[in-house]
Amino acid sequence: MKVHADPGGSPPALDATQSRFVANTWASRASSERAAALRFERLTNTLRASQAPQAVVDLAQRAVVDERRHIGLCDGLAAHFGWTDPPLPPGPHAAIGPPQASASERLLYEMVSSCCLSETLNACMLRAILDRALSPMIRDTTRSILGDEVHHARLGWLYLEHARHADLGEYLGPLLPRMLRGIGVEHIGAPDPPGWDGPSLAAWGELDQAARLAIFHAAMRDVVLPGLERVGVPTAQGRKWLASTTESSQPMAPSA
Amino acid sequence: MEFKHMFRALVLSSGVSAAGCVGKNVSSTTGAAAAPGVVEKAADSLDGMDCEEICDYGSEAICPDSESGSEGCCWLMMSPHPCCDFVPSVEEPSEGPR
Repeated sequence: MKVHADPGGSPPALDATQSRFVANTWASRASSERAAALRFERLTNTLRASQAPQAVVDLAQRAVVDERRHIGLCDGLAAHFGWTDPPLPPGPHAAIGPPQASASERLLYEMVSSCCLSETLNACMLRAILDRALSPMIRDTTRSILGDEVHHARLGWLYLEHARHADLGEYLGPLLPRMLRGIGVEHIGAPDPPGWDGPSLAAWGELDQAARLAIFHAAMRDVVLPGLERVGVPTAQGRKWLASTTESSQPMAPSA
Repeated sequence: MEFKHMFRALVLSSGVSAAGCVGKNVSSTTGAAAAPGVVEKAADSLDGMDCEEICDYGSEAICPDSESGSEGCCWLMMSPHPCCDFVPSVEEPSEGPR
């Protein structure tokens, strides 16, 4: 059964199974956006209370608005591809950080994990989707979200630079493996489900396991680790953890 | 797969909050400096092109985009303009990052 053919593009038509994969992707993405909106809402208040630079607070405030907009975009695409269940609830969004750390250290940990790592990875994933998707509908939405995610990543890098000038953040190095494991490696390394038609789905912006792993490693190697090193955060342990994982189609090792 | 162009877009541009490159035909903007603490080697030209004349290296590297026929952010281009790899000179700051 041919279910979807994007009128303005040339991706292959999707059958019901492939269409469900696309719907699931955007429903899950909407759930992540819900979590991100709640996280940025809390972080905005925390940053303001901690007297973070106004540019940082402004970017965080903007991120809340962006993420709420993304929820609508993602829910819309999920529905278009056949999602009929209620929207998925927000993913985890509680404050994170080492329990024994000070409030400022915990704030920095969360900013680095959420923005420098997660949002940077998101931006790279979306950039890769843009490279392969043929569907104009997917491309337009991806481009729109990507434009915002870039600012969310910058928020983290800007705050990290501010923190380093205040002599904070040296402690982040040994925590990098934990941080890297915490940004969704289960999803990134999840095997492709039965019935997955890679070439067709790629044209609709879907990333298979091998692509996700390759993007993850490239994003860490080319952006995240150099970004941390640029401001003097030690990355040896993070690099070691990354080297212990593989860019092949094998799922990432969950252990340190 | 490489994301070296994203390093510039995400990390080096973190000190500026630009209007963004999405859905716009961006023309030349102000010539803001790159992120503080960055010292990069200047080159006068790339393959004989005067990149600093062709592109804008402000908060975003903005060059002609063959796909859209207008100007756009290098990091969003399917086929980046050769000048996207050009690194303009930046004055050395008095205090660098740690």
